Amino acid sequence: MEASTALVINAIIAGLLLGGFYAAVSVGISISFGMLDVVNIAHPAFIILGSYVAYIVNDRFGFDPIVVSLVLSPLFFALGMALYRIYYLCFEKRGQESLRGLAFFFGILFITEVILVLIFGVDYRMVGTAYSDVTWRAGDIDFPMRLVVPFLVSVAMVAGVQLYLTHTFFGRAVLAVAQDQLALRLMGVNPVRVKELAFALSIATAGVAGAFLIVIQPVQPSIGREYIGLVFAVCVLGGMGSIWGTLIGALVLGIAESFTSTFFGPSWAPAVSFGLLLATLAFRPSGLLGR
Amino acid sequence: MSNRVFAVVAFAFALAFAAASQLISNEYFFTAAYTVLQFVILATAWNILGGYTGYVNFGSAAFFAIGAYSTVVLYNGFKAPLPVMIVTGTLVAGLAGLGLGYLTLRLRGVFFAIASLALSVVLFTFIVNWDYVGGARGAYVLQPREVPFGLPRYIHLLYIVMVLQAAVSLIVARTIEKSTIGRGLAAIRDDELAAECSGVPTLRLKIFSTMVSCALMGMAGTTFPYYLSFIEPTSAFSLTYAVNSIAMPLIGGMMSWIGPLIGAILLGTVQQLVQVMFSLGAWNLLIVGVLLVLFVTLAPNGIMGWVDALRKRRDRR
Amino acid sequence: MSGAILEVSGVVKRFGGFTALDGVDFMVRAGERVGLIGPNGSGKSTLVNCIAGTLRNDEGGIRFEGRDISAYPAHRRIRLGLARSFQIPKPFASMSVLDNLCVPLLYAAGRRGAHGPIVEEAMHILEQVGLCEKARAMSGGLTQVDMRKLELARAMAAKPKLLISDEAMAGLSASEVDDILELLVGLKQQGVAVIMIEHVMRAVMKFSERIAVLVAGRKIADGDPKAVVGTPEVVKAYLGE
Repeated sequence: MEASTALVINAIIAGLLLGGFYAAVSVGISISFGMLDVVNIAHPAFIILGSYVAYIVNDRFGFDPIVVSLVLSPLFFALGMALYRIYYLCFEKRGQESLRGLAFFFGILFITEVILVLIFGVDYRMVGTAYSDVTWRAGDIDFPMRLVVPFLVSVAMVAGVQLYLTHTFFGRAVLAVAQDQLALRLMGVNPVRVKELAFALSIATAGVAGAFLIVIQPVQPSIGREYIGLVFAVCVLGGMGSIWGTLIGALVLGIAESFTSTFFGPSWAPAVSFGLLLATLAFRPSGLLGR
Repeated sequence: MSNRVFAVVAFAFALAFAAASQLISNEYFFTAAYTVLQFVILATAWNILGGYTGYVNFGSAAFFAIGAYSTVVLYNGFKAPLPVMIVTGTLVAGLAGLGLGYLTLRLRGVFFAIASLALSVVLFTFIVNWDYVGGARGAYVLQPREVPFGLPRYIHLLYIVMVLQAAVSLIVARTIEKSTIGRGLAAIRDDELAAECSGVPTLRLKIFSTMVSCALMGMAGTTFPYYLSFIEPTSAFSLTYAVNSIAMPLIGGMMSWIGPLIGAILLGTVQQLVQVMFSLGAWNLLIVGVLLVLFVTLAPNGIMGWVDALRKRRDRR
Repeated sequence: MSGAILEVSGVVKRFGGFTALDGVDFMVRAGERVGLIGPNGSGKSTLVNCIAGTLRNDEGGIRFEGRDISAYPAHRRIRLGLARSFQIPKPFASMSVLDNLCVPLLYAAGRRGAHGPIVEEAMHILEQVGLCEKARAMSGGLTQVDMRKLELARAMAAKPKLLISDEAMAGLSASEVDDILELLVGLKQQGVAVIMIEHVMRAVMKFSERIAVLVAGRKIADGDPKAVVGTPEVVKAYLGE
């Protein structure tokens, strides 16, 4: 196969694999921002937290980080519930969500990053898994397992969330609360409780996605900030609150980043997600799939 | 107090601070004061869009860096004199604010906030890849050997410039606050739809507010390359600027020009002390972050809000 | 059309697949008192929003004093003299009652409003609505009826030629309704045309020189109040009211 064709195909493959992971990272924002209208700008902080938790357990006991994160996801769920409680009591109830809520989550993002720096320092941390160095080859086309495994689990998780939202009573309550809280109340369901649990779910997905992240690449505390643009870009691109939209938006972003990295150099990659976000907001705020 | 009188008073204070500084023998004072004054300008500037208009800007660092890097460009280009650098940086930052505002202010405030953060990262990536200004390695901007006005060291001049810039920012902020435009901005903050339906040209005012705010933030950055004679992207775009420019007005009080001033002086001084005592930058930031979260949840009107509440309670008696 | 200050012709507004307004024609003469009624969901609020400029109509035209304002943003329309109050009061919560009025006085009243210092003008309007003693009070902590009065006061502060009162009486007691009614009727003396959108039928009947009825996005009646209220279609639409 010609070298340049192989390069392009590899860029596409890497982009798709990354894209799947980006969907897992962003599905939480689809819920918290797209459906619940909570601007949880601290979402990436929980991703990084998940990375470090996975790192600690992997470092100490050698367990696979992805398995660990799934096992520990209830912890993140509980954390999400607590966080929503505070947010609701201090902001949503008082009707001051916009400015103060934003500042609040920004503060949380910030504090998390700083605490991680204080505990772990700014060095990159990585994990060792059975498949970290394995790459499946088909001719000149590479399928690195460190991308493939998170991709598969990511897609599974995103699909799982979508099925949950559309096929269970609680899931549909979440979809309903996004549209008409009053109707929900009239049906005897407490919207606050629904939102609390939905938000907790979003944080849980973040924690799990963090484990995917540290399998894919080494992690250090400030990486969280780079993901803010990414998750909101994916969410906006995908049309806010549509899980399938999130997946498509994520794949688009993954491929765009992969191509930029391959042909312009990796130092330009962070600009891709944010640039795409700015462009989308400026020209097509309803996203690719529009709502 | 009319605008003119306030301006005179502000400049009088500035000159007094400038003159008094020549009596101080501890050189560390100037480095510390420079940083605190930076924050006074940034906090005051941020509050014009944040506190007065109700739009959160997470990208203060971007506009600060625009000011700093336009100085670098002018320095590399033809060693322009400092006043030219200051004016240029301010204008470029203002234009960038206009651009950001024009693109995103038609959307909900939330999207403006996210876009401002996005701008920060895009600009950072751009600067990192731009060799003319040194890219990731950084650039040297050497202080002139001869210090103007016969001052002992260049940092003294920088200090005086910052004091004047701080006075300018406070004057601008207060003038806007007390003007008709200020009332319009407050209406937008309280209820944008009602403001629009009361005749306030909301988009126009928001863009104006963004431009002024960003221009002043750029102004704060224009002397920064000279501060350490060196500048590199990570410190220019440091998260400290983003967090502090939000935390300081929030803690001081977002409704008037006094709040950011108080917040900047208090928080800025605390951070300087912590740095001296513990010399760990991260603890500094942790304190700011924790204070930000505490104040926004428990005392969202800040120190001035608390003062106002006390005053009202006293008036009632 | 002689003396017409507002002409709405063939206005269509859709939300996705749902047509909220389906070709509405509507007209108001200078100084006229018009009632606009219709069941919930008939499109009254949508029509108000299209006239005021907070929504853009998809088809049709809106003319104010002969000028086509369909493309004007809301703030421009109110400057021309087209004011509206909000169904759910939206006070500027960080400001006092007095300062709330200063905003439209400064921004909307323009040449029509400059009779003297702004504060005096504002106090004069507060007198008319009966909120004088509360001038310095924070607008966020008012009672329901006071908030409705403030809404109307703010609309009046724009020195309008046409004022749209959007369900200002919903949920108020009988005497409170009378207060608001007196206020709105009094506007006629100032030559202000008023469109009253209400469900409180007694108020609408007392107030209106003419009534238009909106049902499912279409105007089904327009004319003398007693005649309109008696037509079979209107009765059918309001069965149970």
